[in-house]
Amino acid sequence: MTPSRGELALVGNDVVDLGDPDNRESFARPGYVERVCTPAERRVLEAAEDPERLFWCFFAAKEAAYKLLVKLGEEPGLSHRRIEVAADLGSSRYDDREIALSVGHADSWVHALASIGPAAPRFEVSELGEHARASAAGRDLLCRMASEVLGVSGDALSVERRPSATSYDGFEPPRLCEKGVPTGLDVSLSHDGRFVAAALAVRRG
Amino acid sequence: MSMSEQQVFEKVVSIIKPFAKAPEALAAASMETSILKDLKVNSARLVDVVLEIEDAFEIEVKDEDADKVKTIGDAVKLILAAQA
Repeated sequence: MTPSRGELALVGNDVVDLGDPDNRESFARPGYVERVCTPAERRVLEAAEDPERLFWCFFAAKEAAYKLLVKLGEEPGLSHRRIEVAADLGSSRYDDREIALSVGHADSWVHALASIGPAAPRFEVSELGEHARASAAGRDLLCRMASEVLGVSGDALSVERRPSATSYDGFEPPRLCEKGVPTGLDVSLSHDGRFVAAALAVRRG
Repeated sequence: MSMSEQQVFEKVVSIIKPFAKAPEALAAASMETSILKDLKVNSARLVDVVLEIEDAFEIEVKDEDADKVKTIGDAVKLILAAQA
């Protein structure tokens, strides 16, 4: 059964590898923080004990919210400043739409989860194996998580991404399928550096 | 002196090169090559690309203009328009 709009349960997630040399170089680049953060976010960063870590929390939160906004039919574009993250990292705002956030971090990574609707979202961050391909590792992680939630064999699950002429990366958001049929369970994938992350919008009740 | 379209194209390709995860696609790049899809530049590195374009061409790239850039050709046109 297709859920009504009021029952939509959607997620977007993003992981950032704090040890990635490219990320560290970007943070140090003059103008980078200003290009990503709003004036209000920059004021919070200036007062932070660890501004680099907090910056990547903001960044991941914006990326997670972006992924969710696209699913809602919004066109937020690629400008991170259009999505403003609250100082407590609990929500983000795009135009008049507020998106709930949950941001967590470990020594080496930060992760953000954006969600709306009657969902009790689940997520997991995993370290890539030495020779693993990030996209395949993310799909494997998601299928394992979904297998536990749905009570079906992971072998029956797959993740598909259909081509899209309008999206920036050329694909629609990922869809979780069981034996080739979409499950209707909303999902999100992310990878950066040494880490992959997956999220599921598990319905409450 | 303003640069030709070919000169701007070559400069843009050289700016993107360190950030592209698909160097084989960069070797065959054209005006139609997608920066994210084909060259696998991620969104964090796309910010670096925009900043380097601003520095290299001494232009300001507004958020709404950056949103329109999907291909190398889009970036070249944006730069040429800013320099006109």
